[in-house]
Amino acid sequence: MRSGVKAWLSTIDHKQIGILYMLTALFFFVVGGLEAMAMRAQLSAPNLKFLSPEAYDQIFTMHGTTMIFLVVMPSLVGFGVYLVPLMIGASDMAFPRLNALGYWLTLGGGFLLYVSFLAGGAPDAGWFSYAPLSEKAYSPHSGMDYWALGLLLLSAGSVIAAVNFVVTIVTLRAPGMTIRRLPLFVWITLVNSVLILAALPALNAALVMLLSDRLLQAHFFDPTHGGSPILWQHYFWIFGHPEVYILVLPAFGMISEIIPVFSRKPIFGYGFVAASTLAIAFLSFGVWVHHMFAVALGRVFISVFAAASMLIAVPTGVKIFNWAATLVGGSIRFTTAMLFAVAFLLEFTFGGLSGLAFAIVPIDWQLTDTYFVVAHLHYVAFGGIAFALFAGAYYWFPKITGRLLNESLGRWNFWMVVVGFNLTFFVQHILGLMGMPRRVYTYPDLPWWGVLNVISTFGAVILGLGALVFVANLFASLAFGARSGDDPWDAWTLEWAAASPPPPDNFKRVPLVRSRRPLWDLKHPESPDWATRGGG
Amino acid sequence: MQQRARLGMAMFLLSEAVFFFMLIAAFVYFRAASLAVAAANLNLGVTAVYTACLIASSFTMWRAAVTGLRSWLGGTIVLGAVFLFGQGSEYLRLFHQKITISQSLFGTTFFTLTGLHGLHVLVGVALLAILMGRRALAVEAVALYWYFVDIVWLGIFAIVYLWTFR
Amino acid sequence: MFSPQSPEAHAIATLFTYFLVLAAIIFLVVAGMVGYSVVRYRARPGAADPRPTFGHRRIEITWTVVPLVIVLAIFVFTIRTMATVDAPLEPDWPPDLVITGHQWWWEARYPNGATTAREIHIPAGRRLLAQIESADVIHDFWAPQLARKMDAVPGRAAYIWLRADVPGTYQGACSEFCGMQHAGMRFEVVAEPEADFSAWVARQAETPAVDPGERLFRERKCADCHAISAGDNATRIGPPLAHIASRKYLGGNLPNTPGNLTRWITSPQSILPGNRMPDLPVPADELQELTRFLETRR
Repeated sequence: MRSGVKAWLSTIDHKQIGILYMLTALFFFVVGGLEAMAMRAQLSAPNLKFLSPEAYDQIFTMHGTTMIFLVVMPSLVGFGVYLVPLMIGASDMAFPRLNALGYWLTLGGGFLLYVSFLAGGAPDAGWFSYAPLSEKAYSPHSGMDYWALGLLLLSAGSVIAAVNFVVTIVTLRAPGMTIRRLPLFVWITLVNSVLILAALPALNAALVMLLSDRLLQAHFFDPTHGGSPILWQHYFWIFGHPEVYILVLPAFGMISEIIPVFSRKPIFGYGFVAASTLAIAFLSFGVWVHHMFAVALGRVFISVFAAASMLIAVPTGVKIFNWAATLVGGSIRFTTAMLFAVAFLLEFTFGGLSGLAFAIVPIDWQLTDTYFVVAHLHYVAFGGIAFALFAGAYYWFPKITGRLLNESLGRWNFWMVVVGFNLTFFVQHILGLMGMPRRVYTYPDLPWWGVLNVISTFGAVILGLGALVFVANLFASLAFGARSGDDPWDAWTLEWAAASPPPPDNFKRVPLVRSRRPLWDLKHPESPDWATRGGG
Repeated sequence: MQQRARLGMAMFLLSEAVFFFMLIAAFVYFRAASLAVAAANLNLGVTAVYTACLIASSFTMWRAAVTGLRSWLGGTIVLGAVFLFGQGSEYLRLFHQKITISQSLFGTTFFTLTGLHGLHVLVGVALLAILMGRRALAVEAVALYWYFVDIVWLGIFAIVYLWTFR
Repeated sequence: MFSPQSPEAHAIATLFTYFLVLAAIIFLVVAGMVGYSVVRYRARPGAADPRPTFGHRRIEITWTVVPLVIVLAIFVFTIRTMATVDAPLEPDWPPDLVITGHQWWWEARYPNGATTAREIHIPAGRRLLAQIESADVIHDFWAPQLARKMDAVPGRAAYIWLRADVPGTYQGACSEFCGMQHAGMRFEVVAEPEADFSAWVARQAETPAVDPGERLFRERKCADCHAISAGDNATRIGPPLAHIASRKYLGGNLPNTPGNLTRWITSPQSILPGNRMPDLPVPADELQELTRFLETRR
């Protein structure tokens, strides 16, 4: 690969673009983390004046927007554009120049969002910016406009990546790799890409309508001229709910690759995992109103969405059982990647269960918009998605760089993050049950509120330090890490047949694909998968 | 190569279809409050003529994709430009009657929906102009885009114009 | 949520308890499976890869169908509790009180014309129909011990049952982010015995006798934002002050004392930054008169 700054800025190689995405995500992870630390500092005791309400509102808005659109999305797209061509035996994505455009749009969106701080104030109406608070009358400064425009750019980047993934996976697979033999990470990326194509436009429509209201004095969401604030909520959540699955499905894909390799067994029930992915994608469009249960929309209407919200727990639960069953009868190797993957199973299950509470409408009628939601979303987004990303980092870092991440630092990383994370967010369930609303810059000195909040802040400090250990591990291992070789984990999918790191065209020769585990077949000619039931 | 471009365009158009569906849904959501202004100010006949031009342009686009001849491409561009001219003059007529995006819910929904559609037609015309300039590998993909923009217009015409005067 | 003081809140707390038990069981099953495997199937040094197994149809079908059945049961309980707890979408009788969310204070209006802010009195033991609405952005009325929360959406009225089993003061908060002082938008529901409530609401509907301090109140333009007579339903930019001295709290969770009232008049921005009342440079003698006057508005 060409090196030097100019080469990186003009690259259309999927591996370099993947790395650019990942580094951008890492940068914004640190920024979003600092925003979180500022919030936790302000909330560590009642009635603190560390942050003014204006500052706090901008920071919590930017924290959510950053973590979703500038950390998780780019990380997942980054891993995707890096790994998908390798996993299907291709030499690049179908549209390399479009790939680069997608990255630069993402960076541009991030830039627009953050330049708002210098241009009169960042957006401050929350990451879902309900109308009419987000309209000009109540948010006169331009922060909201930067938010809308920034998100439009980011959304364009996501749609471009999704188009690219679909065409790549459909048209560039190695001979023998039928759809039913796709690595689960690739299959899930394919389904997820269609989900992106169907969901992001709802956000775009809502943003266009908001900008029309704000900049052209239209009245979509303005109740004083016949507009409807509820329309914003519908449009946003028609995007917003599928969006959370867009964020978690690729994480599921990573876990589906990592757990089998470190259990030394193929995944238990490939068919059910693949089918449940489709079920989740379909159902994800039928649940959005569960974000609006506290609005008077009518019991029958709400009940339909309650049913769908409970139903979607089933295919998700199926996956958890499939992953857990993969462990049974295995020969489990506890690398740092595996530690994070196993922890993912527990944290995500916990987060999924707290989510189920919200499907039970009367419970939602007490707990929505409280710290119980904050706890739930962080269990699934951090304990789930971020833990999967950590696992993916430890697993694929050798392929990307040719070196292993340090396992001792990895242990410290893991334990600090697990302890810190649970300390920070477990107590927030209790705070929600006690009546603490979310998005408050301070709170009254009610019994136990101060104590629980300071525990949460203490946990956040440990979590933050654990994340720093991760960043340190990345840079230290890049410089001094042990060489990994092509296939340090004795894995089975095609990316491990390429060198670490792969040459520009990825493969000297693509191995023959006759099952879901082509490298297993190569290494075990006496008992290949295609000769047993698991051929696919 | 052509197959990949066509599949990519089809996927992109899937997302565009959802986008326009959402904007049309917003129009329908506010239709009751907009009907009076719509009925008093829209001109069905004139718009039907410009709609016919756009439909004709899909025919010329198809011929261009099949034969590769620049003349058919040029015809599509001309018909597209005529449609845009028609949209523009409709907008001017409405502005003259003080109907703007902020004047009423009709203005809000009508100008947003047709404005975004018009932008898509403009982008299409630009793409066609680029195709005129070089030996086009992607003419089939651009054709898909053009048909799509046409079909969306048929939907808009039916819901905004025909349904108003039913 | 765990000290419910109304039948509606009780029903929700009970449902939550059942849910908690179910969730605990499910989590323990998953954690057990994972915990057991992690110990029992740890790699032994030098061990070869186990024989591959790819799944087991019948097991997988079971663990799809069983959760489906559980979900169906949960749904039934959910619907039943919704019916118990929820008020009608469009009741065809007038509400017992109208609660309006403003940036950043709660207003309550009663049928006899009484209007108050922040401290919402109700008769204990009786179920009331409360109308929830907003004067500006979306707020949410949430008194966790007493009722479900309800979004206050501008342009739409919503309805909840509001009741307290026994007299007492119950905490409340705005539960939908509504701008800078969302955190400051707390309230109390004060449930009183029926006779006490009747006396309170009657008094709140009266306009106290005219006071020379009232002239100053109007001259200094306080009356532009704050109603000082009980029947005044037009001046609703700031909380009504006809009975300000009867309330326990001023804005910003500040206890209602003469000293705090004086502080609020001159520098409300230092107490609740961003709220709609500007800091006012009032001369000391006028300040004293205004405070004295307002302290008589009981």
